[in-house]
Amino acid sequence: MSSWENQENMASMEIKQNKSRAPDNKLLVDQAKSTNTEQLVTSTNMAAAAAPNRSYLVPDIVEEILDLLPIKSIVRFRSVSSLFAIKFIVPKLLHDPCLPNFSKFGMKPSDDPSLHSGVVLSDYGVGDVKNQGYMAPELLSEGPDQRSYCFLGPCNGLVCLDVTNHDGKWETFVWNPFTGICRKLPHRELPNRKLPHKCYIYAYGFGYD
Amino acid sequence: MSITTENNEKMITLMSSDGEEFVVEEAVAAQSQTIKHLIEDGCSTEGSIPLPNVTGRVLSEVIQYCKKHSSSDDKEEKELEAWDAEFVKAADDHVALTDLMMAANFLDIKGLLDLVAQTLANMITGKSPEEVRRMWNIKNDFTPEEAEKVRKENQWAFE
Repeated sequence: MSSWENQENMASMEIKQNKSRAPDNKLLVDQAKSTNTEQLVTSTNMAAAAAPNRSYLVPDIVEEILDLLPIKSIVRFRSVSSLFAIKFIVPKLLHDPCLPNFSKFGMKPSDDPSLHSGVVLSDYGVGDVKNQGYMAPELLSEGPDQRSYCFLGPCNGLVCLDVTNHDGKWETFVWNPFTGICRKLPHRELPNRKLPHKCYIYAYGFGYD
Repeated sequence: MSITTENNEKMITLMSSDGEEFVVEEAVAAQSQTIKHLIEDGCSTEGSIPLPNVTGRVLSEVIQYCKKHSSSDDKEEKELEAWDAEFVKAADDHVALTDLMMAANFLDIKGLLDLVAQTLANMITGKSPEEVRRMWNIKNDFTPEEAEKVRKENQWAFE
């Protein structure tokens, strides 16, 4: 027991030293790649769950509870143990727009026909969004705004977002809700979709290098 | 063992892991999908239905919930909500609630599972990982390297 606590202290000391360093690009990719091994770790934990006469948890129960938490708590609790370090809660939730849990991302179905069909982040002020831990710091640092956020789709735990500024210009971001890292993708030269009486269909895709 | 009461309600006997027997109406027991399927498969005709994962203390709480929810209809929704709130309050602490949730999971009683899960979620939302570990006796099974990686990745959630 005490050796665990020592290890934990050592780890947290090292983290303090690293804290000021900017999160690097690699994290975004690592997060997406390491999924399979992490899932295996979680399943081996099931065997340890059967101790009688004490409080014990199984993955089913943990998932039920985590499912009800705000994203910030889910992310924080990934440090608890491998049982809590789930990977895929975001895509699972995002795939089904009918799930009430959707509101935890501040997202709601879009009723603006000029936006893509799907889901947009609701009208949170940027400050509110930050306080609730929904949005990445880098995305927020670009100043106060009336921008609308359009959810394009999840892949391997990453979420693709389209952000439209008030002047009608838009940018695309890839967001990792677990790390909080958000990357702006290079600007695309596409026709302005705010033009009246014109209809465009856009397709987005990503590939591995 | 199936007994029939005066008003023709079929009774079911449930046996907890510690050998305690509970005789309940079939409609009450059938709130549990697990038990409902056992009844449908004819497992209730001889003797009692053994529930090896549920102690008598927890089972009596579960039966309380099932009784209330089998006797109320939709019109009483508000009253039922208030009853649910009192019910989880009476369960008192997270250990009792976790036992209850394990039972609800095993017995497949969705309403009870959701109710207890929400109560536990509310309890832990603002807590630190250390506090969550203490609550459930969870061993931190990360290596120091893994712990550092996870903590670094998720740093924003601690700010």
